[in-house]
Amino acid sequence: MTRHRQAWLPALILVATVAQLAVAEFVPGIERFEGKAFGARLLAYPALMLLVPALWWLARRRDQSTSQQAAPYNAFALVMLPFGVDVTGNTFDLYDRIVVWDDLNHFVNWALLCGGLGLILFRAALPRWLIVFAVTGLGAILAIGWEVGEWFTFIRHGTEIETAYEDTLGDLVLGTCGAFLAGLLVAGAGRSSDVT
Amino acid sequence: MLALTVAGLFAASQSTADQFADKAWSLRLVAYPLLMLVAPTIWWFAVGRRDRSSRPPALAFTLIMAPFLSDLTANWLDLFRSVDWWDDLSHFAHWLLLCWGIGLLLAPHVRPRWVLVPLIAGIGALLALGWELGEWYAFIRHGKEASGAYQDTLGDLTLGTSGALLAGVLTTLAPTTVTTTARAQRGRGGDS
Repeated sequence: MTRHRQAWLPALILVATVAQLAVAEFVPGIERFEGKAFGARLLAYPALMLLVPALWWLARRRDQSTSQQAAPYNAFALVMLPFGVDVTGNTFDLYDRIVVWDDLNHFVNWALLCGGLGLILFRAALPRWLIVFAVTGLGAILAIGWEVGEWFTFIRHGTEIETAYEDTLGDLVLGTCGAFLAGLLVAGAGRSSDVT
Repeated sequence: MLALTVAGLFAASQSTADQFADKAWSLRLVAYPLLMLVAPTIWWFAVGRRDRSSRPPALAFTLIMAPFLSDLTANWLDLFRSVDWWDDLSHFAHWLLLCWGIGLLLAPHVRPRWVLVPLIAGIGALLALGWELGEWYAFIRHGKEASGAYQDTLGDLTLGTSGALLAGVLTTLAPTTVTTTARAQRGRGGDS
């Protein structure tokens, strides 16, 4: 049971995120949530938040040598937190009230996401100097994937095409810098500390 | 490969042929050899100097240098103008070669081997982003090609990262010799 004592943290983030998404989708008349595809987010965000824990669990089942290993709940929490931050930012209308909120999110959310992924994927596999490259590179891949997704969903239809180029480069740089910070922190965390 | 590239760059910088116009060959004559020598220099300081018995990873260095010679050759043959998709193919193939070479250099330090795939793809994505930022700084922020830059940039990033992803997969398939230096690092818990 002590192996699961830190499961409350990712569980809390998941519940808080889903609760806010449900309010955004089902409570009528809240202007800040309108036209932001919260129906799709209500399905996609929990699925994405649970993807990494699910893959970790499947990988552990295949590898008998790690079957008694405690789950990295703190790392799961880091991976889930950006989704909660995004929804909370909408709940408090921070995207409209704070000009730099979107840019700040690209940096901070990539740092959180890549920090969590770096702890799970790379910390035990790579020497420290390579962890920084690996986590930063993963952040760059995810940032490129995100921007390609934005192009496919919105921009190729003409939305914001005029400003898309420099916005995209800016978001890519912010996300990658966030991942670089995460890489430094994961490398600095060492292999002996407990992240579960 | 280095000598061929330098000779070709020098000839291009002196040429008046149309395909070489406005392509900063004097800058390339300095930058390409320097970039081609980055990997051998790092290897020398990290491995060769400490372990004189280590053989230089010639295949990895060749793969890293090949894109520069390929770019130069394509300019001599005027392929960027005569073949529509040459630029796209170059982004994919050059990132494949470059990152495959980097992968062969890093492979002895990485266990389990599947970690090489995200590691090499990520390094490719970083290099692609760096390249696109360089293009923005050198050309596009002044308004040149700004109109078509957005989709070109996303396409180039995707092609480069895809080439690097394939390089990561190919690196996992190649046999790896764990060098003395890598063994020593792993013996110390991987810290360096």
